[in-house]
Amino acid sequence: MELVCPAGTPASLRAALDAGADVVYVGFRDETNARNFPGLNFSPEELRESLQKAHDMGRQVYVAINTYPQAGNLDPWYKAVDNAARIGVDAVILADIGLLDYAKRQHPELRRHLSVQASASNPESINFYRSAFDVQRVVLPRVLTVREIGELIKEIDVETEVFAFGGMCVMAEGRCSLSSYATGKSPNMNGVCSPASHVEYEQRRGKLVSRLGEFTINSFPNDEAAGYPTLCKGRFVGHTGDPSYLFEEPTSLNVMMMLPELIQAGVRALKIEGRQRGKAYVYQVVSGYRKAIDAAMKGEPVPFIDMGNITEGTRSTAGAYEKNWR
Amino acid sequence: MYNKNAPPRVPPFTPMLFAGFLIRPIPAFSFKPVVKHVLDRMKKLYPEIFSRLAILENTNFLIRPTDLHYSFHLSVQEGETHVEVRDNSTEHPEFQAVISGPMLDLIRLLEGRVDGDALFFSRTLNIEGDTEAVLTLRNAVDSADVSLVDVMGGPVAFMKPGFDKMLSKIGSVFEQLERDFVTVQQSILLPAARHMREVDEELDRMENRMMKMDKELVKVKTSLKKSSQQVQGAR
Repeated sequence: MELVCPAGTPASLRAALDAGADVVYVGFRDETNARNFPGLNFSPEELRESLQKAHDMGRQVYVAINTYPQAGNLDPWYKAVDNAARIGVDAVILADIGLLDYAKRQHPELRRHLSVQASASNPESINFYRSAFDVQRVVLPRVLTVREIGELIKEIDVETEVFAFGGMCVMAEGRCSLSSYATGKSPNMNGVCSPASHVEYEQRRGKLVSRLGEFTINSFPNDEAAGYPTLCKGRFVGHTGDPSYLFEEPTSLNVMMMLPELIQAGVRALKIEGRQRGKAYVYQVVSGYRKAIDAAMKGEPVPFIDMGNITEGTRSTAGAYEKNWR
Repeated sequence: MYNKNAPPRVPPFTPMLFAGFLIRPIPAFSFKPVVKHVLDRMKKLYPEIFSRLAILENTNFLIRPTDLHYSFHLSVQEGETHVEVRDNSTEHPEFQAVISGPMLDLIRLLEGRVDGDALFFSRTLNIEGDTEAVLTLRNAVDSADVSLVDVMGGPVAFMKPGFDKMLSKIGSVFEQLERDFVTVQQSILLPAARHMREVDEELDRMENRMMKMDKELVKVKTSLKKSSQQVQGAR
């Protein structure tokens, strides 16, 4: 089982490697990746140095180029694929079929993974990406139960990678434009959900009030844990009259205790979300998962490792992997 | 924009709060040489931080340790990062962004020993104003492996091992004191917390009763309305 870990900066990449990551995934410092946040990500030069360090340690680096190219402005995406190939990264993570086609034609030797943003969650779709673009791995959307993942794996000839820890979204992955209604920008087109330039926090009458664009989306009393300022995790007034979480509560995904079942299902790699988080988060999550995977692979019980302090809203869930709301 | 008129929050119960009482008589300008030394060393040791800060030209940050009487004013002008210490009682200029939290947590954040989002989720860290600028600052600082012991580093090579050891010792004493303060605070607040929980439970019970009464009232009103309509219909 491969442990695939996030890094938003070279320091985070070093932290991930020190903590036991098999692979670190990163993005370039532009709109070609889904974490296009200010001050984050890698220049080609930083990537070259980081890749060398990872290879020296016998580890790998993947590059996410997983937003959708904009009509009339394809160059940044082509350039990102060319740079990744020239630097010699171990794989690129792509979502757009045009870009997959470009990568296959221009750099056939460059390993291609299908991003979660492509939202491929059934055998027909995954087998199409395999036959048309020769993708070697698919990152599955966070909508399947472990049993469904196991059944899917039997019908495809591609490695599977699943999300194990980090941010949760209610969206059909790769198709969410909710953020663009309030800010004009969305994860799939611009690499940002709730761009920081449109987020504002204010202390008002003993509460932390968060605003996105022109909308107040949440208000946290001072003793309540806070979450990200996304519309899907906003508190709104519904029919009951009291503000409540109509879509999703602030919480993080954590499937550590389900590792034996995921291994049994034939999953090839576990992905940690959080390129936007600090290196302290990366180190803590990666070392926790390293211990848990090593134990599970030996057939030993998975140890309980408390991650409560770094989760959104200081809470976690196994989400769709269990679907215990059914 | 930062709301200057917002009431000050109650400072956290930390060793820094007590240390702050002791150093309070020291005027802010006295810290200038120390701050200059720290900033110069950081620029030398971690140039990657300052290259990532360059895009924040003309942005003014107020970094406010909630358990100290002083604040740090950080700004980028003509590509150069400047930091100065200010006394909280003096008039502050306009700031685009304010970051506040306990001093030891701000130090941990600077050294990358704690995740900024986690501090924000737990409400230990508070931010106001230009969120994009705050994120840029956080990501810039997190891009290097900052060590305050290395930054403070002794000026003479042969003194360095002893100096580093002393700084590490001071750091660990403060960490231990912080844990002790939490224990003391919990012990003092326990009876009050228990009482508050009881009051909360009582309030919840009353709220539930009110909601039930509201529903009953709606039912009675609806039934009255129906009866009145039937009477009118009969006429």
